[in-house]
Amino acid sequence: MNYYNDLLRAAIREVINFKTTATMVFMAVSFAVLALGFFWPKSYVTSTLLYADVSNIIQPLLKGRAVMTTMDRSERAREVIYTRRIMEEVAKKAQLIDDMTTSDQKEKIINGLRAKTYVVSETKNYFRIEYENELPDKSFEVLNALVNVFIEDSARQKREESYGAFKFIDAQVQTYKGQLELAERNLKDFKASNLDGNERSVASRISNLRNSIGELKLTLAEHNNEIRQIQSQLNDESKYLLKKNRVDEYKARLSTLKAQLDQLRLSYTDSYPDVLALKARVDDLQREIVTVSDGEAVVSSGADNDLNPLYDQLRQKLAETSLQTSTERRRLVYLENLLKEEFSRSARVAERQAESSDLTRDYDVIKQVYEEMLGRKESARLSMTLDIEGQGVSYKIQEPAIFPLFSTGLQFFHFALIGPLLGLLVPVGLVGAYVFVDPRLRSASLLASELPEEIQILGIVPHVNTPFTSRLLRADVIVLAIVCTIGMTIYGSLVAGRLTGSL
Amino acid sequence: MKEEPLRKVTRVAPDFMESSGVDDSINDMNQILLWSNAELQDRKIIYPGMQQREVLNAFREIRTKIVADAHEKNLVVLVTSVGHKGGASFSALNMAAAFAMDEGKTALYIDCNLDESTSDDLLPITPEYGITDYLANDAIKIEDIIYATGIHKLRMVPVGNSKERAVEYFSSRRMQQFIREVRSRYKDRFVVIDTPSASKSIEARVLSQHCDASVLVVPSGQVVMDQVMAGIDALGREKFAGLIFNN
Repeated sequence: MNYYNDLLRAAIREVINFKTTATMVFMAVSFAVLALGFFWPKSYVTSTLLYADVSNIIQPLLKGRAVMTTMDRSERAREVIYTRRIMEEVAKKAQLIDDMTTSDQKEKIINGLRAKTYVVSETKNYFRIEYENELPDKSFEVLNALVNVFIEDSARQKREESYGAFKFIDAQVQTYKGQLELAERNLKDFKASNLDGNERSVASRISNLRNSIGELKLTLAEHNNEIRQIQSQLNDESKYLLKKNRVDEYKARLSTLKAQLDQLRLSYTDSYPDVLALKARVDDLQREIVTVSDGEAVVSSGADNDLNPLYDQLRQKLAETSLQTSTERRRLVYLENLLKEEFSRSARVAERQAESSDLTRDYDVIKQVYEEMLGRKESARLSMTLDIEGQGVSYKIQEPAIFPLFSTGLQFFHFALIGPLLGLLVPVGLVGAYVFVDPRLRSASLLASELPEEIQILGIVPHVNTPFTSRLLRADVIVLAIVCTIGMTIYGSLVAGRLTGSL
Repeated sequence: MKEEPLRKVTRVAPDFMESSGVDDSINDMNQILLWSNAELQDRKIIYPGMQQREVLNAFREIRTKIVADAHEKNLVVLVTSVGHKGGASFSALNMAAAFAMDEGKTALYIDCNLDESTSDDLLPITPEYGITDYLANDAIKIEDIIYATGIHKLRMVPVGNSKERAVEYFSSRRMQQFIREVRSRYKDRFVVIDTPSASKSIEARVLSQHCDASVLVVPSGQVVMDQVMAGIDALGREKFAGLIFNN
């Protein structure tokens, strides 16, 4: 510790010893730094914050239909911005190159542009584009050109993208339309060739037929029964007619006898034998009639006894019913044939049902997709129109570029401040280093530590400042102070001149 | 004692100096006008109550250490420096002043520093004779070369004008006699011999044979360790009292 104290004191002493040199070094360093500040290249940075709209045109259009790859938009923007295409366009727009520029120079300018352009990711989807130039105007112009070119380019790309999407969907629609037409045709052909109808109609028809057959059978049975009854009735009727005929015959004989009797009675008494004989004959006949009619009330018909309407009616009915029955029998056979046919048709229908549902499904699916595609195509057309109108730009300027008023990095006043500071530090540092490196003894404690033990240090005499020396010192110092003051005045006026812009 | 070469002075020393009664011979010394503090300050000579107390204390400490080794007898101390302009004269003069400051003691400063004589600073006029003249010329008496200074109880012997053969003179018997004479002249007298740099010349080595102790002044920032050790060896270790580190 003592050693460093001694060194420090020695260094201060040395600075005082070398005060003229130190002052000169101070001046030289100060002015050198100031000169450096004068010629230090300035750099102006213009920056703008862009927002990358992540919405993609294909994504909503094909949502659920196709998977889109997602990417870091700012990363992509960086890649796009650094491309030669963009850089060259920017250089052209900022009038850094024209048609007269040779390709060598062009390459150099573009590379310079690229080296001074920075794309910095801020947060998700936000990124900053910066451009650095020695001139504020240039910095501002180039950055604006860069942003414009980039946004235009991305808008154009987006337009192309949406147009591509539209074209793609349109092509898809066309394909689906063809497919739909094909499916439609297939279905039509199938339907045209298939007249059997469907399963349900066949089933209903079968049931109808079955019903008809059942009913028909029932009717047939009824009619058969009817025929049987009519025949029996006819039978009965013919017996009755026979009896009736006999009765009628008897009655006719009876009436004849009665008329003979009446005739006889007119001429003969009752006791007359002829009358009696007649009378007995009449009674016999009457008995006979009763026997023949057998208790039945045989209506004795009038004159048209032979024309029995019931019998005729029955006979007619029998004929009719027989005819009906035969018709019904034929019909039954026919219906049964039909049923058989219907069964075979049902088998056929079932067979073709699979094909039909296949075709229908194809048709349905294709139709559904086609209709959806048609809808999407319209959305794509809308999106494309939006992009063409410039409505759907995917990069937005969040923070517009501001004209750079101050240069970045070291400013002139930094140099102006650092100059005197460095001017002070350099001589002190040099002296410090000199004192530290110099092997000559400057520290009593170092001397004491290096001495052999038997040799003592009697005393350490400090530096004596006599009034005479201080006077001399002061005269020196006055000269140096004047020099310093003049130097610093020049320095200050140079700084002021530069800062006010007159230099 | 020769008074003529000295400027006309009036006595300013405080009265108690005479009436202290330590030794009449001290009071017999020709007291002359003492320097004011400012004059002492100009000459870089210590005085009680000086502003830079650490300098005064440093020399007092040196004096104390040397006296401690002296065992109550009059002491002849040789002061030399390691390098050129090493501050030997400054240290020697201040050591003498420090001895003179001591109560009841006187000091004699013998300037044998042929290279950098301080006589001109200490004496108002150029002295007629000095130590070299005394050694060269038997006719010159000791009284002729001892001058009073502006410091109380401090006398000095200037270097003189015959510097050419100084080394031979310094090693002579007359030098030896001179030292013996001045040493024993007063009780409690301390003699300080200021010599040129030990590393540059052999005067210091020659003179060291007449001394009781030798002191080496190491100037700060001018010499390296090897030079210090060489200086110590040149003076001889048996009489070596110690180093003074002079900032």
